[in-house]
Amino acid sequence: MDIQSVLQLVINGILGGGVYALAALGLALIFGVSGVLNLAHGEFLMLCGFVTFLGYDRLGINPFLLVFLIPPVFFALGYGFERILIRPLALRKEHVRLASATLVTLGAALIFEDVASFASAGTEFDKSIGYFIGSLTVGSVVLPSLKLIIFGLVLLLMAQLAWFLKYTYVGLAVQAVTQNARGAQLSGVNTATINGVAFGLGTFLAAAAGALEVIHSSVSPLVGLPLTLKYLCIIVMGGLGSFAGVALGGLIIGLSESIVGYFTPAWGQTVAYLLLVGVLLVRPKGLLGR
Amino acid sequence: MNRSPRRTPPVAALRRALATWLAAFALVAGAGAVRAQDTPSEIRIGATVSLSGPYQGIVGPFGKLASAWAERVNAKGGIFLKQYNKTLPVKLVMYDDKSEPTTALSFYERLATVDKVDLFIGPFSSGMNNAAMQAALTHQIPYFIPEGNDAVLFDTPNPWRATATAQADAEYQRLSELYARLKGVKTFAILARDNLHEIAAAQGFANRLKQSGYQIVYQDVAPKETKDFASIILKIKQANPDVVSVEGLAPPWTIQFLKQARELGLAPKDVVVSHMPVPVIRALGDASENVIAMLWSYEGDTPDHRELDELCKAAGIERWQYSEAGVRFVTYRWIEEALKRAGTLEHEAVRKAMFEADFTLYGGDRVRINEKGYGSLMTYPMQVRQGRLVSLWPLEHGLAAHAFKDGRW
Repeated sequence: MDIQSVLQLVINGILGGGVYALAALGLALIFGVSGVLNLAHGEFLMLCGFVTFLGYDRLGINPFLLVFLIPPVFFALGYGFERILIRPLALRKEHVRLASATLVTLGAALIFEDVASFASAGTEFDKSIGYFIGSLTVGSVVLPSLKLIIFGLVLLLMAQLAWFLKYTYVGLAVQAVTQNARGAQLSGVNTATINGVAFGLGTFLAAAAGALEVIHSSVSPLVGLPLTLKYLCIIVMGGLGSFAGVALGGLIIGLSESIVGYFTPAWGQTVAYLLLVGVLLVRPKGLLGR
Repeated sequence: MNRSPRRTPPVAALRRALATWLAAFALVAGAGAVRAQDTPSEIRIGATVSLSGPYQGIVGPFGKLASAWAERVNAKGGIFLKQYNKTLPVKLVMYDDKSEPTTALSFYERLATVDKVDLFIGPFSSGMNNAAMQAALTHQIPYFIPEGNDAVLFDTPNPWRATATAQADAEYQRLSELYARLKGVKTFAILARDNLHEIAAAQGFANRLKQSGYQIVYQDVAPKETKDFASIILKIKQANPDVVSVEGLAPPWTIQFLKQARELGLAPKDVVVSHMPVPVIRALGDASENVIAMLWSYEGDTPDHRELDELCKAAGIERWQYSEAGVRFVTYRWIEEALKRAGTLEHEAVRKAMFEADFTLYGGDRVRINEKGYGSLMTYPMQVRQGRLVSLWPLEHGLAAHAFKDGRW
């Protein structure tokens, strides 16, 4: 394999890993703050992908504009999801609360999946926006413009999230609850509200990833749970509690899929799970876990 | 001594008379019931259609197509069955199998046990039929496979199933004949979706091309879940084939490959997409121009062509929009032939007639079923022109009409 092919595979992998990292960050944020594994996370991605598709297909709105318009609505949906389905479990014993909450999110995921399948009957099952921008070519290396724009948006959203977490009161409170919920509560942080905000933010990131996914690739009603599992792999591999680890995990999965898929397409999709096992055997806390 | 004759007590006599009467009534009523059961009032046909799931984009309208066929048959009075000396209407019982083999099987069980159908029309694809046709074997009900022609379906003994189509590895025969006569093509890249039918059909195409002296410079199978084809496309670009052939039954999979091939600058002389229903053409837009596809029917003006067009119109589609509409039409014709030949709804007789059916289509193509259960129907090459599929068959017409894509997306 020549150097240009290696370069092409690396570029493809990094560009593909960006959206993974963005959605996985959302899942990590929710898990870090509330301790709840939100199995409906991928469903929010799917739903936002559908709404973005409808906005483009029916209303003719530019899909990149929709990336900024729709996810804020999903922040509210995520907040409401936590308020209605998760918060009522707050007074239960910790292990019961976590198990119940995870099961609630699983139930919600299945309901979202069925509703989307039902709504899709009679139309194209996979929603995909036929958006095309000519690619750039450097030597024999192709830089797909659409993926580059999407990667740029992913970086922008991640930078905004980092700023929010570092420089705003709510962001600092989110970090405090992630590190020590009881300590944060004793310092006057309203942990119940912060849980809701974390769900809202996590859902916002999943929704943004969904909008970007439908522009470049496609979303179908059944895509949610498998994606949630992949994001779980990424956050465990990167290290629970480490947002930098999650970003690194996303890029590693993107790269490994690209490189393994070149040699054997059949194993390209499975490599995430093999890598997870490998990383956990060597570093049980994940790559950047503390 | 004067012996009086032995007399039966009046109550006992009454009981005996009542019992005799009841026995006679039961006998007569039973015979009547048997006769009523022997003379059905309709032909009950059970099927599932993928109204949702990944196959929805390729067979979604076929529920309406089947209903249009039934209405057409019933408008003529139905199908004459000699044993009952009656013309019986067709009654369809259909469910949505969600493109899932296990869901399909459970519905075929229901069709056999609850809906009591007389025969089955199978679902879409070999994988789905492989699961669903177990119900045919269990309940011994004739099972007409519309789309499903892989060896795995016919290598296991099941005398209740057959298809009108030729074996999967012969699916590209006519396209291979076309390429054998076209000049300027030497190398091929073939990618198949990881599924029973696609792997067999792609392998059959590769074998035929090799036999004709062509070189296969890339051949691989990609998982059903693949969304990012960048690595595969890179490898195909490195192989630099004249023709890239994509064999995928699920439109979303095919659409992703083609969109990314365009984005990454894959520019072969020809692109072949075996299954190219209208959702794929629509998703690609102008980029679909000159893509080669295959259809189970071709353009023509025979009575069969006209009948198929009318059925499609009633289902709200055009014949070229859904490649499998042609094979559904053949299946309906085959069912009519088999029922007329059997002259009864007795399962064994219909099963036998299903294998013995022999009819011609489109003014010359003969449809017969061999002892293994394969039919003789094959696909016809087509090409996208201005957003619709036009025929590259018959061969001489195809050679004149064919235009290379030449990397223009």
